[in-house]
Amino acid sequence: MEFLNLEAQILDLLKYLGIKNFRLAKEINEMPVDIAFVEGTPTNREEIIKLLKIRKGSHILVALGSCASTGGVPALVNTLRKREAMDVYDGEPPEIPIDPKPLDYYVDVDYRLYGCPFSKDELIELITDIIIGKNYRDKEYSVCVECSLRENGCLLEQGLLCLGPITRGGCNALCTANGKPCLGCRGPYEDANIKAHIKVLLDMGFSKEEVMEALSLFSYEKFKEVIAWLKEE
Amino acid sequence: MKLVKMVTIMMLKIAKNRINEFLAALKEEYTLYAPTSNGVTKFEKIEDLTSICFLPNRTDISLKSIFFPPKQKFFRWKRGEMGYELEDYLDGEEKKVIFGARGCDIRSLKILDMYMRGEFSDPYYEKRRKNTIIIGISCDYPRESCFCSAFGGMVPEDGYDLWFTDIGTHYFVDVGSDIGKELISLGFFQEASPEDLRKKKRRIEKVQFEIERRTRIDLCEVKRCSQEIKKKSQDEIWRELGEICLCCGKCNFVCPTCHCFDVRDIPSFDGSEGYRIRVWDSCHLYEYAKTSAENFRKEKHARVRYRVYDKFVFPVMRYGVYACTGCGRCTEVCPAGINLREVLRRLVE
Repeated sequence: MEFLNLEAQILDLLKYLGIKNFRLAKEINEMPVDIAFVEGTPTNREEIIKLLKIRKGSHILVALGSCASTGGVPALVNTLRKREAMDVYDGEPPEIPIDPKPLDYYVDVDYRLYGCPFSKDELIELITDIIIGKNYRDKEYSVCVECSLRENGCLLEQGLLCLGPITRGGCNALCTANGKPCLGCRGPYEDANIKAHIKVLLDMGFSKEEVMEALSLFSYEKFKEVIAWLKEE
Repeated sequence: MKLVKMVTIMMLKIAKNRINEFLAALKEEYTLYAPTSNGVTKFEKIEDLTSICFLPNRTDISLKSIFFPPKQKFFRWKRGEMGYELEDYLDGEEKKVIFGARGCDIRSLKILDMYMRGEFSDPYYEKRRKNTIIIGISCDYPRESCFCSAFGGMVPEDGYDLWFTDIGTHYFVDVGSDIGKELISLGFFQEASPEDLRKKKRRIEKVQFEIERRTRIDLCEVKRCSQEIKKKSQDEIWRELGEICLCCGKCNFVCPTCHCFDVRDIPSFDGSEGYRIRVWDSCHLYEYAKTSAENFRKEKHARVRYRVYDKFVFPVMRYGVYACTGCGRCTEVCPAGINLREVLRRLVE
């Protein structure tokens, strides 16, 4: 839906791209396509089949948003035991559910746009790069970088549980610039020193449970090993 | 006789309740920058004199960004009939007065000048940097992380036009340049007594003592100390620091002398027009030393070491000075609690 929020650029964009398939905004939808943007992550067998079909019918597949690129909030269910998770359906799940995973668990993903919601600026950057034939790269730095460029005060210094130092940048520090600590919706970046940051948070006086909860909110699938390590420590 | 007269002219003070008048007079001709407080303290363009914050010591954010903004447009390009047309963004040229700079700020400008106005001149920096008047001020007491006494103390030898020191109801005024001399002719200043001079000296000594008590580190022999640090390239300290460093880059961004930047193009959808910008970069980031062939500093400990070396070894080899001012900002913002002062102490001792 964030696509439709590209009010300023969407008309300009449509000069270069046509929208062939958009379930939420179009009546007649076609396949195959050049670029497929997939939002969300499959939680049952039917959806996996749908995802495989999309992969087959598209040249470039982009994982759009937190759920598609890191597992996101749905993956939170993996922290619970199956039976507990079933309780939300009153014992009658609509279909046979499977563990939510990031899209790249099932298919090859060409590009990922992280974040909940993903950043419009990054979407424009990606589309521009595809049109002019440049290689789009994931941001390999933390939220702290963009937060510092905006010359904010540090929320960790104020004693808040901020995941900025281990979370992938690119959001232009939207939350932290407005005084809200980073929840880690973009997941960790490759080079992140996660264990060191956990030690910092524990030293600040947060309990193990609080830290584990914060880590698993958006990217349980990415932090799984660290959380297991933290449990044992 | 003439000499005596000159000395008496130099002994000046200004009443605290006349500071605003003085700044208002300056504001008519110059753009005024002074510390403000809005969650964090930093230097900002002053529209309303009441927004100026008279702080007891340095600001959280240095004055680097006035001359070298975090994001700066270089030029805009457009594909025309005759090839590409460029439109330059050499902006920020204005006559500036910076009020409330500390010793560390002034020293940091000297170091930035060394990098960006020396051997290689950066036109975008130069444009903003020239025509700048600096009014410095002594700290009332140091911050926990301060260690400027390792680099020559709170009052810099030069680099300021006027230097204020709090002596109760007045500020004692030192003049540091010809422009400073012009400023004192504005008529807001009065002659100071020998008693005032004594008060000023006592005041500075007191703060200086306080900083030294914290610093407890001697870096005065530049050559020897940098050699000492250079020898320790394989020391175990780097491994230790590499393990706790989050490599978030905050120390680089708050550092008043860090000046690395990344150049990026922001094209339109078809690339027919767009902007070229520069954005601050940090040597702690993974991609900083990444090339098409390999990454020179893949490991975190190498990056931590590089930053220390780039402050205390390489500039000494090239220019004969340290590129650190002892402001302690990096220590203050480090989420992992890496204390540069302690690191240096371990390296030099």
